[in-house]
Amino acid sequence: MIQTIRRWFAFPLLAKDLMERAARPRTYLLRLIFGCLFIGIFWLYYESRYVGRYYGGSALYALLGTGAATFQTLAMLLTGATILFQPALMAGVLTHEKERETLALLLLADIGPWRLLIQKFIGGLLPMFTLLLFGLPLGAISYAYGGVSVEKMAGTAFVIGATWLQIGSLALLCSAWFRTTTSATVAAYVAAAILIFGTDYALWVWQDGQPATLLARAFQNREVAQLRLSPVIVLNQVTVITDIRSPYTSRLCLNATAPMLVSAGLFLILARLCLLRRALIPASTSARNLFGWLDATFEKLNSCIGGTAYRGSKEHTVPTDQPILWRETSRGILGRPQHLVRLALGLLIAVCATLVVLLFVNPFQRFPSNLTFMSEALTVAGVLAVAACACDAIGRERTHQTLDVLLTTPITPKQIVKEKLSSARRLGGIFIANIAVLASLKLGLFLYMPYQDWLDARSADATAFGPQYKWFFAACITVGLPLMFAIVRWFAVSVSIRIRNRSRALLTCLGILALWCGTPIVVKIFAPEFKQTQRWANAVSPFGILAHAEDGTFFKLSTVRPTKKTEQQIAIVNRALAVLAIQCSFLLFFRTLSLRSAEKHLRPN
Amino acid sequence: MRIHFIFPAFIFLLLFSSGTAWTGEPPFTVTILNEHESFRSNSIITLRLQIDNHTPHIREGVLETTLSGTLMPLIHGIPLTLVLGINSRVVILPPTLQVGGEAQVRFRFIEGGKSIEAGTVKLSSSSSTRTHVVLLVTSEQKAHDSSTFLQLERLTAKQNGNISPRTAFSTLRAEELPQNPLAYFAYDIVALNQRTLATAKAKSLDALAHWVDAGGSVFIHLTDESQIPEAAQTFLAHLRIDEAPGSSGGFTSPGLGRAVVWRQSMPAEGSATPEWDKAAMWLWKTSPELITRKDSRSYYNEEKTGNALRQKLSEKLSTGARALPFGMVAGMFLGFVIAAVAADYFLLGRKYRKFTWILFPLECVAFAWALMAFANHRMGINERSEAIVLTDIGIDGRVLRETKITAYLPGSDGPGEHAASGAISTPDRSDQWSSYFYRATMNAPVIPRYLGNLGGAMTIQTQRSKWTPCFFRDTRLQGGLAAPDLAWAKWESSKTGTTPPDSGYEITRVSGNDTVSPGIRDLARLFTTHEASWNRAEPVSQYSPNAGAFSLEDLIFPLKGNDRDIIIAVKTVGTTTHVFRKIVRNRPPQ
Repeated sequence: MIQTIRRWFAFPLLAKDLMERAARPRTYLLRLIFGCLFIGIFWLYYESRYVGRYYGGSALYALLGTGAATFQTLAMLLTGATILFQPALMAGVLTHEKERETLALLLLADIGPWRLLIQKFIGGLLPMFTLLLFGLPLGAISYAYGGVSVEKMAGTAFVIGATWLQIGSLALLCSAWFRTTTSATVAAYVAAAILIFGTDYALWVWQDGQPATLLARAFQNREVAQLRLSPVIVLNQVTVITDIRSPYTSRLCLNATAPMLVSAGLFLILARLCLLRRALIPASTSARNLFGWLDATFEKLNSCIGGTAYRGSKEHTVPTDQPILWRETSRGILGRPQHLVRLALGLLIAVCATLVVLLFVNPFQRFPSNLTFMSEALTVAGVLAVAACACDAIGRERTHQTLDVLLTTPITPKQIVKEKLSSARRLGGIFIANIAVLASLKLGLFLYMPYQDWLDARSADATAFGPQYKWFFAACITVGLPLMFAIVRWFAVSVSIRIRNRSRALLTCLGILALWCGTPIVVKIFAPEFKQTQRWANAVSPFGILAHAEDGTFFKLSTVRPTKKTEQQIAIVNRALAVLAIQCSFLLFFRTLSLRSAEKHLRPN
Repeated sequence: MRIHFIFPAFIFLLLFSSGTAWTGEPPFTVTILNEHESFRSNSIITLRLQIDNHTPHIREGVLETTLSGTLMPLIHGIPLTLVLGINSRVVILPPTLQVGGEAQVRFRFIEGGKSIEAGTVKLSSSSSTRTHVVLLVTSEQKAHDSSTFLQLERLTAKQNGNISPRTAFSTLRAEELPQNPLAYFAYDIVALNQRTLATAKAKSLDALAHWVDAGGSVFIHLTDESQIPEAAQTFLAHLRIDEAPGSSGGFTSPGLGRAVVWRQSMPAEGSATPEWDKAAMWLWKTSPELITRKDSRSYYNEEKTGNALRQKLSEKLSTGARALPFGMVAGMFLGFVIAAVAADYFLLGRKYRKFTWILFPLECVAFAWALMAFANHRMGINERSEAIVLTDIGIDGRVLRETKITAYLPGSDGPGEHAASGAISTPDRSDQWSSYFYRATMNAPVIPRYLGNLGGAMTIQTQRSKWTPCFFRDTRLQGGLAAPDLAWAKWESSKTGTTPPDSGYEITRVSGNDTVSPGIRDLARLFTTHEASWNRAEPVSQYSPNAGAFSLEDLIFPLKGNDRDIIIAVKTVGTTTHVFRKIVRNRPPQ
C-alpha cells in the first residue's frame, strides 16, 4: 500500500526538472530581473499618478487609500503576464518530447499517462511561479496604502491562481494535440484569445444586441451571466465590481472562479485523452490536401468552361537557382500564388464577418473604432505568426537534422537564411493585404464622415495637420506595414540562428517581442502622464510609425512649436521621417546581424 | 391526502396575506408630477409626488425611495402618513453623487416591517453634467416671463461664443414653496413675480430668505410694492439688509447671496437690454470678465481646491498614523529581491539549491506578512476622524451658514455611519469609475443609504474601506448657530487687530489683493481665496450655494465680486477645527 502511494507521488520527471532549474543561475537572474522590473513599473505608476500631484501639501498623504487602485492594477498586470507568458511556457512541454521522439520512450517507462501529464503540467507552470510569487510582496505594498483587505487579497490571489491553471491546462492540451512546438504555441495563443475575448464577446453580442431569443434572455440573467470563462472578466468582477456594487465576499469569489477551475479540469482530461492518441502522429498534410483538392476542382471547372490557359506551371520543376526558396515554396501551403490568395481571402472573410456582426450590434458611430480594433488585432496576430514562422525556419532544419546537409552544399549560410525567410515573407504579405484592406475601408469611410469625428481630442499632431492627415495616415500605413513585418522577420531569424534549441528560440523570440512591443502599452497604462516617454517607446517599437499615425501624435524632436500651418505639417512629416529612420536602422541592424551570425552560428561546433 | 390539501391552502394564505400578488394591483400608486424636469447630479432632487391610496385605511409607514442612475443608486426613507384617496407630497431627496442617464425612481412603502411595492417611475430627463437650475415660482400653469432671460448660456454665448453651461427650469406653485431652507439647495436662482410673492406663505419666504443669506440668488419682478402683504414686505426688507451704500437700487447682496428686485417691465423676447444682462450676471454672481471663463463646471479648477481640502484633512487624520513613504517601500522591496536571490543562490550552495522551491515562496510570504504588520503598526487599526467647521458670519453678526466637513480614516473594511442633524448631509463625490487617481484619494463610500429626514436627524450608511479617507459634508442654515464672542470690531477697523489673549483663536484679515504666501495653504485661507497659478490670491465668484458633494466652490468667498474683506478666526478643539469667517464691509463702488 505504502509502496503504491510512494510510487504515485514519486515524480521523477518533475524532480529532475526542479533540480535542473534550481541549479541554473538563469533562474535566479530571472528572479532578480522580474523583481527589478516589477518595482520599476510600480515606481512609474506611483510617480506618474500620485507623487507631486497635490497642491500645497505632502505627497505622502495623497497616497492614503490608493492601495485599492494599485492592487487592481497589479492583479491585472499579473493576469496579463500569465496570459502572455504561460501559453508559450507550457505549449512546448510535450511537443518538445515529440520533436525529439522521446515521448514514446517516456510512455514506455513505468510512469503512466496521468502522472506524466501532471509532472509536465507542474513543470510547465513552475517558471510562472516566480513571477506570480512577487505578487505577494507587491500586494502587501498596496495593502500598506489602504483600500485593500486581507480577504480581498486572498480572493484575488485565488482568481490569478485559477487563471494560471486554466491557461496552463489549455496550453497543455494544445501541446498534447499538436505535433510541433510552433503549432502548439500558436494554437495555445489563439485558444487563449478565444477563451478570453470569445466568451465575453459572445455575451456582449447577446446582451447588447438583445436578440429576442430564449438564450439571450438566459444570458441576461445575472446568475447565468456570471458563468464566464474569461479570467479578465472574472478578475474584474472580483476586484472592481465588488467595490462598486456590493462588498467583496469569499462566496462571490468562489462562484466567479468556479467555471474557470472546471474548465481547467476539463482541459486536463482532454489533454490526457489526446496524449496517447496523438503521441506519434505524422506531419499533417490536411491543408495541403485541401488546397490540392481545390486546385484539382478549379482545374476541372476551368476545363468545363473552356479551359482558359493558365501560364503557371502545373508541376514544380527542378530549380536552376535558389533551391531552398524552391523547396520552401513547393513544400508548404505558402508556395503558390493562388494558395496565398485563398489564405488571404479566408482571413479577410473572417475579419469582415466579425465587422458585420459588430456593425449590427453597435451604433454606426463606433464602426471606425471597431475597424481600428480589428486592424490592431490583426497586426498583433500577424506579428506573432510571422515571428513564429521566421523563428521556426532555421529551428525546423536543426530539429530534422537537415541543416548540416544544406551546409554541405555550395550554398552559403547567408543565402540559406535569405531563402528560408521566404515563407515568413509570404505569410507577412497575407496579413499586410488584410490590414491594408481595413485601412482602405477606414480611409474610404472618412471621406464621407466629418473630419473631426475621426480625430481623438488628444491627437494633437493630427489636429494640427488638418484634413490632409488622412493621406498622411495612408502613407504611413503603406510604408510602415511592410517595414514592421520585415523588422519582426529579421529579428526572429537572428534569435533562431543564435539559440539552437527550437522551443527555447521560439520562447525567447516571442518573449523579447512581447516586451519590445508591450513597453509602449505598459507605459500608456501605468504612466499615462508620461506622454513623451510613451511616444519614445512607440518610436523604438516595431509598431513605430503605425502606432504614431494611429495615435495622431508623434514624439517631439524639439520643444519649439511652429506657428504657421505649413510649418507644422512639415514638422510632423519630419517627425514621421525620424521614426522611419529609427525603424530602418532596426531593420538594417537585424538583417546585418542575422547574415553575419549565420556564418558563425549555423555551422556545427 | 391531507398534505395535498394543506400545501395549496398555505400558498393561498401566503398570497392573500401579501395583498399585492393576490389582487394583482398595488395598494398604492405613485406618480411623479415633475418627472419631465431635469434633475441634476450632486444636488437635492425635489419630487412632486401624487400617491393614490387604494386601500380603505389610513396607512402609516416609511416611503423608501431608491434612485437608480447609471452609476450611483441612492436609497432614502421618509416617514409618511397616507390618507384615503389622493395624497400630494413633495419629497426632497438628499444630494445624489451622480444620477446619470436612464435614471429611475422606485418606491416602496414599508409598513410594520412589511414592504409593499408602490411602483417604479422612469425619469424622462436627467443630467449627468452640471446643470444650472432656475426655479420659476408660478401662480398658474404658464411660462414665466423671465425664463428666457435668466439662461446662463445666453450670457456666455454673448461673451465668448461658448454655450457649454446648461440652464434648466423647474416650476413650483407659490403655495408649494418649501418651508425648509435646505430644500432650496436644489436650485441656483428662484424667480418670483408680484403675484407669486403675494401668495407665497410667510414660512416659505422666511426659508427662502435664509437660503439667500447662505448664498442663494433670488429674482423678483415687482410691479407695485404697495400691493403685497406684510410677510412679503418683510422678505423684501430682508433682501435689502446688506445693501451697499450708494449701490444701484434693486441689486442687493444679502449675506452671501444675491437679489434683484426688478421694477421695470420685462423686456420682449430676444431684446435683452444691457441693464437686464447686468441683472442676470449679478444673479449668477458673474461679471463680463469672469463669464468668459465659464464652462459647464465652474470659474476655476474646483478640483484643485477640493483636493487640497481633502489632503489637508487626510494629513490631519494621519497625525499619529504614519503612511509608509513610497521610496522606503520600494527600497525594502528591492532589498528583499536582492537578499532573496543571494540567499537562495549563495547561501544554499550547490548541494541544497533544490530547496529554493520551498525557500523562495516562504521568503515571499514572510516579507509580505512583515510588510503588512509594519503597515498595521504605523497606521493603526482604529478609526480616526477629523472635522472642519466653517461658520460664515454676516456683516450684522448673524450666522449665515455652517459647513462641516468630516473626514474618516477607517481602520478596517466594513459598514460605517455618519450622522447629522438639521443639515444637508452628503458623502463626498467619488470618481471611482472614471479615474483611478480620484478613486483612491476621494474614495467615497458607494451606494449610500439615507435614513431620516432632510433637515431633521439623518444617518448615512456606507461601506468603508481600510485606510481610505472618506469625507462627508453637512450644511446647516439655521437653528442654534451662534457666532463666537470675539472683538470683531478691532479687526474691522484695521488689518492688524489684536487677538484676545488665551482665547485660542488665530485671527487674520484677508482681501482679494493679497499676495499668496506659504500661509495661504492654511486651512482657513484655503476656503477663502483661491490660489491662482500666477501666485496671486484670486478671488472667485461664487455662483451657487448648492454645489454640494461635487464642488466646494460655494465655500469660497466672492471677494472681488462683492468687494469685501474677510476676517478669519481659527480655533482647534480636539479633532475639530473651527473656522469663523466674518464679512467685514461692502466697499463703496469704484
